[in-house]
Amino acid sequence: MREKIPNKENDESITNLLGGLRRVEAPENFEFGVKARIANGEPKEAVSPFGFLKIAVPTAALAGLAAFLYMSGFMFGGIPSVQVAEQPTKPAVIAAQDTLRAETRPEEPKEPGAVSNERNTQIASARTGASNNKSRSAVDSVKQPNGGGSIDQTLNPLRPIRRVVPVQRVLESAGISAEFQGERCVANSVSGPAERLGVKGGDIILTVNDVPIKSSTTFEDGVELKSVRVNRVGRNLKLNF
Amino acid sequence: MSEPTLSDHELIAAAKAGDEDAFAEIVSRYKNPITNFLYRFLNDYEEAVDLAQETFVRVYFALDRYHTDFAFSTYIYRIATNLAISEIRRRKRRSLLSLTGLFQSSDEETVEFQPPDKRSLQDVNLEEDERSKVVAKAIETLPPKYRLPIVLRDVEGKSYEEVAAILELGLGTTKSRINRGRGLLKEKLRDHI
Repeated sequence: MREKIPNKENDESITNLLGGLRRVEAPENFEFGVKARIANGEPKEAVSPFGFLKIAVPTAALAGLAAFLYMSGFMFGGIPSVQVAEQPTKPAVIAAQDTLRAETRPEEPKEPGAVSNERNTQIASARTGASNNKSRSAVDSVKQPNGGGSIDQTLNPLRPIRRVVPVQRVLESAGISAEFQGERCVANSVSGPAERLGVKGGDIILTVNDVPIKSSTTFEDGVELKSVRVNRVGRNLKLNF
Repeated sequence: MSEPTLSDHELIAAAKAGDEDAFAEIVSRYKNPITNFLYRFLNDYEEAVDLAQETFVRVYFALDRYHTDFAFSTYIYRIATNLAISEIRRRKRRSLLSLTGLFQSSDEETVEFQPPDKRSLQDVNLEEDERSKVVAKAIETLPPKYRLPIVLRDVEGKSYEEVAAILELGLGTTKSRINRGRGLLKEKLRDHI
């Protein structure tokens, strides 16, 4: 039978073990060290000079991540169908000067009927700025017939040159109210130009301007709807506006 | 000139009045216990001396704020304890930056990051036998909430009441932690008991 050691005995054994440790002493120059420190003045509260980093680093990381996601939304994200031609490169100093000039320039009066708001103005500028670029094939699908130049947008690399909208917005502009069922884009109700063209409720929208449609597909705001390809009861139809 | 038989409170009162010798006497009385306490808690002599000196500096600059409601020894041990806890936290932060921190699994078995021991080789006073080193290491691996009361009680010989006052804990909690700490130490030192 195993002998059970009383708890008190255990305590004593530990206490004896710890109590038997050799006691260390302060070094001979201990007092000198204390006096020297006192002479240096009251110690600051034990706050690390980098203590602010506890807050600043996560905040900066979050801000950086948010900025990245925001910018990538403009520049890369979810625009498989529409690619805007690259901006012509320009030395940073000149670009900054142009930016300053553009910022201080008074707004030009807008032509009636051309664009209705500032957002459309920016998109139109992007469109027309891109039209000056050789790699224009990428923006053919968003090209406006009445084109034009926008120095402000083309030469300012810091300003996002386009805004994007989901494909439903493009379809709505032609009178198609659509929703995604999984990755299928289904027309719910149809009116206006689309109805006249023959698009019907229940049609599955396959392509818009020859761009295959997924739930993540986006277009530049204000893009003109030229054609849709739909699947109606197993039959594919292409309808040109 | 302060008499060596003066009580702590009398020395403090004299130091408050500008008697430098009185404060020197306080340092002289407590430098060894505080250094020993910090050394057994941190297992690093240089760090212990550094924090012990810091303890006295803080006492000096807080003389005006010190009240004689409780024992001076409780007061100075509390300051030392707070500094030691801050040091442990600093070590933990450093351990997060070290690769070893990635392999730590549980609180109980945590082996904290230890900077290289910078004690001079000439410091023969600190040469300890193998058994003492094992005990010191075992103490060091205890979680601080058990280590503090164990060191105060079993190394420094403080009463339960004093330990409770220093750690600002209830008496029951203090006893419970000491018992728990002893149990953990017993596990670790089974071969040496």
